[in-house]
Amino acid sequence: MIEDIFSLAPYSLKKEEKSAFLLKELKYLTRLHVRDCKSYKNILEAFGYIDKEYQKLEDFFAMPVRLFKEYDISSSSKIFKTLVSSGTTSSKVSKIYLDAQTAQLQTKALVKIMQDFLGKKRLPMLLVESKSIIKNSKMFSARAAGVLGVSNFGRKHTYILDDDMKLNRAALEEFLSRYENEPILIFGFTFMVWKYFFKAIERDNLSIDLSQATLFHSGGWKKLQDEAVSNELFKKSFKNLTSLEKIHNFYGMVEQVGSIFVECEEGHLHTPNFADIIIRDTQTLEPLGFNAQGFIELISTVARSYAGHVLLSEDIGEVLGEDDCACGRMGKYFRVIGRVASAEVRGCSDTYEEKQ
Amino acid sequence: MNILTPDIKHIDEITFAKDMLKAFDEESVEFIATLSKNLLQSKAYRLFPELVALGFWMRHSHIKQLKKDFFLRNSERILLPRGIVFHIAPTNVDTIFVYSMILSMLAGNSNILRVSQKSNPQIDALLNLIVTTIKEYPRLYERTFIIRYAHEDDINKKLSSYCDVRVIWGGDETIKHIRSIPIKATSTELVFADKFSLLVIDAKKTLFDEYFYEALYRDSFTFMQEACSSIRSVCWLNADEDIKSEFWNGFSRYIKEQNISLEPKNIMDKLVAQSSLAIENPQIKTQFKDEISIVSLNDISQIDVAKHCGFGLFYEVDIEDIETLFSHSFRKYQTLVVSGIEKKSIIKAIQNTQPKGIDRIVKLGEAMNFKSLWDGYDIIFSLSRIVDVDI
Repeated sequence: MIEDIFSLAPYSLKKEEKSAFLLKELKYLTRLHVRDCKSYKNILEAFGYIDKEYQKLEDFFAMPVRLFKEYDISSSSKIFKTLVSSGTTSSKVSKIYLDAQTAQLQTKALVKIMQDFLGKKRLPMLLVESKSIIKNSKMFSARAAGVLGVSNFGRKHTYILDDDMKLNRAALEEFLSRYENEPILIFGFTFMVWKYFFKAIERDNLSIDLSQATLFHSGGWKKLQDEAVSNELFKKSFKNLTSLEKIHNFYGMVEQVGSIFVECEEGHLHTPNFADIIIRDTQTLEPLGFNAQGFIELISTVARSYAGHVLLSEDIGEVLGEDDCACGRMGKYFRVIGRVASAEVRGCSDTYEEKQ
Repeated sequence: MNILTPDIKHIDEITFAKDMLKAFDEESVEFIATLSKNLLQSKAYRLFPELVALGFWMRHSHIKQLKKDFFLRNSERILLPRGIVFHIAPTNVDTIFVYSMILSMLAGNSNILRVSQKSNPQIDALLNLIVTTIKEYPRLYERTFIIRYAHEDDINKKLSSYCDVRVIWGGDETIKHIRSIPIKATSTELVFADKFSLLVIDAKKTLFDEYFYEALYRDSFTFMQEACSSIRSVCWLNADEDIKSEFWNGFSRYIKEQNISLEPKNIMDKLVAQSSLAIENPQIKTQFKDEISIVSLNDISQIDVAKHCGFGLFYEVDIEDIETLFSHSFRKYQTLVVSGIEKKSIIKAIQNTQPKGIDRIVKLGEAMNFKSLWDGYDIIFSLSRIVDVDI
């Protein structure tokens, strides 16, 4: 059962054990969603997957993640929470329907992963957010859900941005002096951490010591790439300015909350026991081996109330290895290279679009 | 903004000749013949099949044929030019603006052409050739305004206020936007909206050989299925599953040999389209064959124009007879490419069904050939004014 997997350390299963476990779970979830989700069933029937004998993880149909923006995909009649993506780049948002079990598993999965990096003790926590982000509602934005999810690992939560995204210096300094020489946790979205935290510290010449802190951040590099800020520069800048060394980027998506891929001390994103990554060729969709770039397919056994257990993302990445990262964690490790670039518009339907 | 012809710097300097040219004026016919010759004789343009096709279309014998047809069709009428025609051409089907200009010129009109600022070797070479050639024809030179600009509404407004006819070559969004800019009360407008084109194959009367695949490739992949007349759907008559699969395997192999490469985005768009169609139409089948994706629909009414993303996506559907296709057509349908079907059965089907769509029926391999009869218009005629002498 899926619950059993959480009694193990999150990065403990080696290749054979892990794929046996995932194969069994994916077969079960596929059957479940064929039974309970008409859209999913229609797709598998159309692509000829409905009677397929699944021999390995690569055999399952990977749902294009964009479909969650176009359709309500749900397999449960007991939905108690709906997640929506923040939808910054397109006007459409993903809607993810959660029942109690999936929501619980998401929390458990996140706890297992985070504890591996932070230990079991809750740490005083700084959030690079404004408090207004947390509004209790049935419709959660992915950003709010992320903030709430990670908040579970901290105590004495301190939000250090005001509503105009300005750094609240007083709150920050008070927090740091109160927990001087104690380990603390910092969380925020990548571009906000850079723009509203790091840049503010740099601009105001603040003398701040974050050597006891661990920073988790996520949300993608798109905005920072535009400013030529790489992960390396990000880490180096924090280290030089604030002595912050423990920085973990993580990758995940609202369609598979809880199932996140955290960057280890070696700078690699890791797949936990209950999730996996497959890279697929961008022309043929065939699975690729190590060090080859392609679409990132995400497998998660945590997603259960909707058919999101095998997703094809529009991100490009490559698997770097399996079970042999110098950090000691088992499982595949990989890196994300970026988003699929928009192709050039052709044909006679674009007379006006060029100015946009 | 850059005015290529005539030699002025700003659109405020535009002045129009007092007198109008005649339909098929000798100077116009001669200019077009020279342009054709220059285009076909120079090695520089041979690399671009669209330019060769344009040169071929403009050759003297073809223009003579257009002239004959024009006067034959309108023998009982007196036709005059409408005056000033403002053409707004699409960005990437580079040659459309030339066809549009030539037909309008043949009707005797003065022309303003909006050409996109997006530069590529093909369009730059073509514009350069037109500008050098037209300088030798002073009466055309002062009546032809070629202006390159990004869509700036101030310029669009000014040029729209000058014209007697505005010609907008799609897509739908552009038409919608440009239509919000007023033209004179006496002016008319010709619009070419986004369209969808299909191929109908009578499997019993068609041989799937290399010539067939080559022609199909040309009719679908020339603009990566993004042109209005690109084949996007295949309708089958008398085909069983074996024939269809032989056909798709053969076509897929042919395409592989062309070494086209699609962007990851194109592959993803197709996969999303296939999945979306599957969600909305239970029991359809779909295949992913690398360069091409096939969606096998159960019923012709499932053809979904809006979900088609081009770049090697093909719908296929069985139809009982050709009349079914016509009676299920709608205004978005433009070209019907036929294989193994006789002209008289097509004409009969059209007369019997009075279809809402389909403006053009051509043989396989000819979908991309531009004609002066387009989207249901006789373009030269539509750019002319009838004087009724009823005494």
